[in-house]
Amino acid sequence: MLDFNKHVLESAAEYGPVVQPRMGFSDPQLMSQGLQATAQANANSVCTITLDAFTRVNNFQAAGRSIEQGAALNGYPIVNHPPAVTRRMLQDIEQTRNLPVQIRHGSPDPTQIFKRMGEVGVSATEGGPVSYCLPYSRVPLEKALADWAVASRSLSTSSPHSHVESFAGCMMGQMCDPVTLIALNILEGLFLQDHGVSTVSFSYAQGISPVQDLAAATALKHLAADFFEQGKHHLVLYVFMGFFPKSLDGFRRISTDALRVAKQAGVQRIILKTPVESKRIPTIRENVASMEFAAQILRHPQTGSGLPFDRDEYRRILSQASTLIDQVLQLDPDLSQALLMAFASGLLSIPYCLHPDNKRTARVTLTKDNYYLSHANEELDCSYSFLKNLRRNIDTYDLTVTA
Amino acid sequence: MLLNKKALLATIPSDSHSWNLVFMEFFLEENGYDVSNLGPNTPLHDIEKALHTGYYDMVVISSTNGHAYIEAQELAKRIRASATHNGQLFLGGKICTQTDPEIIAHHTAALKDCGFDEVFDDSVMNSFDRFQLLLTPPASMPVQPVSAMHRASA
Ligand code: B12
Repeated sequence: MLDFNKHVLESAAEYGPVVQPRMGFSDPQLMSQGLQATAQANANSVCTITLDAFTRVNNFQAAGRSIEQGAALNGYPIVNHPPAVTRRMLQDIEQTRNLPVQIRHGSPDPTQIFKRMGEVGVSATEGGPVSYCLPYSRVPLEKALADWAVASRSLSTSSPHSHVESFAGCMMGQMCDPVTLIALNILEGLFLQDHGVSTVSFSYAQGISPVQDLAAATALKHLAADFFEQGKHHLVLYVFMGFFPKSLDGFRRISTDALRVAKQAGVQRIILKTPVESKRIPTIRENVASMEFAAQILRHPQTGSGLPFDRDEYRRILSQASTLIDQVLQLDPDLSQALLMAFASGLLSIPYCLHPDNKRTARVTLTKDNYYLSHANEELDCSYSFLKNLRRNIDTYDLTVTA
Repeated sequence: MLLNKKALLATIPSDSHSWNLVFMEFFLEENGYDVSNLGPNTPLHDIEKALHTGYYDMVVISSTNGHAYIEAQELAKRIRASATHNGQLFLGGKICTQTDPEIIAHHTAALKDCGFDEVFDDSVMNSFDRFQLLLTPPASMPVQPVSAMHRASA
């Protein structure tokens, strides 16, 4: 079994940031073709198997029925397909291409998924007890923490290279102060490490301003280095995870901004989107095109420079996130307990997250520089202004004429 | 504002998207509805329970993860079979994993057979305006120009 973290660190050092699709198909043959195509793309790529939404909620009956009826799911039902089939497609990639595969799932209780991962020989995945609970389910946070503790332990015993990428840098996909996202990343990383996971990665999703993003990604990098051993972690940047631009040009421009941030912040891995994000799940060819496009932009010398570094914003994010982490850690020696208390009191809170354990104490606004900033209990008044804020990147990247 | 009608807002059990629900809650309230938002990954049972214990003029199911064409069929059948809800029942969002109009029309017909009054897939242009017409806002409320926010990209 390949070491995902080691691969990313080494190949990013040699060839620049690794690019990765969010690819997942219900049909094993198509899934296997997708892995091969990713591996053969003209880019420094790693492969992904994204799981379907039935598997994410442990509804294996529904997944099974859909497979029988040949109904297309929104991802690969790894628990339902025979282990031998999945093992073969993974081995093909590892052995013939020497590339690791990451399993992406979104499950508040990944016990079954991780068990299957052990059986088919794959050890890299993503999520976390908070980031795969609050925005992804209505499961009580207490249960998600307990289930993730058990699942992480089992993942770590099934392989010496267990790797989990915290999804905390995304949460709802948009409209959150980076301070919260970054503090949560570190807290989830500590949780995963406590429960035996060998290596971790930290995520940050593009916001509305590449300048704020550069400050935030840099702050995350420095905090991660304070808390985690060198060589045992890496950083991931996501191309915008919220309400996505609809045009090809919008895709090109928003992705280019994310790639600039990634390269200038020294991020090792980038999760890509495609031009059809707003409409449907992309085909294999669309995914490959997007990886090759990203590789080309990353090779361009201009991508590595030019974004201003906002030192004040960097300091604000770094100091507020550090304070938040300390405040949470001081609540209880048991991190699960501390996280529960932090959400119960509203110390940690995710804007607009409907989960019953999220107190909704935090609201977020956009500053005049297009930065996300937390405000306590601020009201966004109506569907029009709400949608207008949610659509900010659509308006910026689709509708503004390129200078 | 007088909220004189009640709407139940929910999604299918496998769907964890929630911005659509937050938006719909705002939108329906502005159109004069008192909204109960059951949140993402709504268990079928919670919808049935809500309909059993309360009265709703309208039930809106919003789903974008692509599984509604599978899960919303059972949902509609169960709502209609229990006879606790005789009012309007709507589905909107992205109902399947395809954007082919023929496939969407096919799934729409199947979903309507199961009990939905209307299905609004967002890859069908202007489905939102059709929905808004059905809401009949109180005369005192100006209609928000929602279609203006859905304009095609330049
Ligand atoms: C943000 C996001 C997420 C976030 C969700 C955070 C959250 N808690 O809400 C996260 C990262 C968690 C996520 C996860 C997944 N997602 Co997602 N996600 C999106 C994204 C980027 C934006 C959605 C959004 O916020 N929209 C804002 C709201 C306001 O708009 P809306 O939902 O489009 O609804 C509008 C209309 O549809 C309409 N409408 C909605 N409901 C109703 C109801 C009625 C009656 C009417 C009239 C109208 C109506 O009104 C709204 C306003 O215009 C979309 C792509 C996009 N659109 O840009 C993908 C997208 C919806 N996701 C998708 C998928 C597949 C997934 C995943 C399976 C992972 C994956 N493979 O990518 C998981 C699913 C998890 C699960 N169990 O369901 C696909 C769905 C594809 C499909 N239907 O075939 C999309 C389209 C991306 C893609 N191209 O692949 N996602």
